Amino acid sequence: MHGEGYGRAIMGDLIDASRLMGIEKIKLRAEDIGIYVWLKMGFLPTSEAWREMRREAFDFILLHRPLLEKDRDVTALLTQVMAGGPNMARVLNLIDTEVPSRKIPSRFTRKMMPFGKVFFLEAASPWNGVLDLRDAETVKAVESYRARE
Amino acid sequence: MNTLRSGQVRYPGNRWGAFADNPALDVGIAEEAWVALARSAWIESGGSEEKFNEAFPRYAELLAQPTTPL
Repeated sequence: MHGEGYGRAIMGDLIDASRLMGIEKIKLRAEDIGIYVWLKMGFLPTSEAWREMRREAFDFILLHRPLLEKDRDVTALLTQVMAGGPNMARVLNLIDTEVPSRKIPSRFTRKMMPFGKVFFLEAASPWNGVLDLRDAETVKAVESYRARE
Repeated sequence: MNTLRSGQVRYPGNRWGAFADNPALDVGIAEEAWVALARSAWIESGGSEEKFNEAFPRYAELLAQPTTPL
């Protein structure tokens, strides 16, 4: 089913229907692959979920610090992650330094994958999330997703 | 019973799905809009744009490029 635009269509319908009904927030439970995918759909963890995610991210950043330090100031990154709110999950996702996957088999060694995916697809716990339709910046970004070819 | 259709692949024991074959696969919000959201989050948490650009130089270049209206 991947690549057939179902996700795009569902998100579009979800937003349109929510607006028609005057709904301001859409809540969900992100599990399995959705732990990564719902974030990319504009949802953010709740404050409570973020506290757990932030702790997991801190440990995961430290675990991969030697690799991450080749590309960036890890201390500055950790400072911002710990200081920030749930939308810092988007920054975690942006980290593209390749780190070894523990789940994807490779014949001779651990397969290297982008940090932003490995964290959400292997390390982060399921989270409760919200898409805030009053957040103009997020809605504009989701609209750009709907418009993708 | 195998309920997978032809061409579908199951990855037992992990969440990777289609990302396992193609780690560069992109879903959801388009990259440029996503980077702008992440930069806003960074600045909102007290970080500077300069530090963001240092932490994510490739994305800083992306945002610096002229854009077409959405």
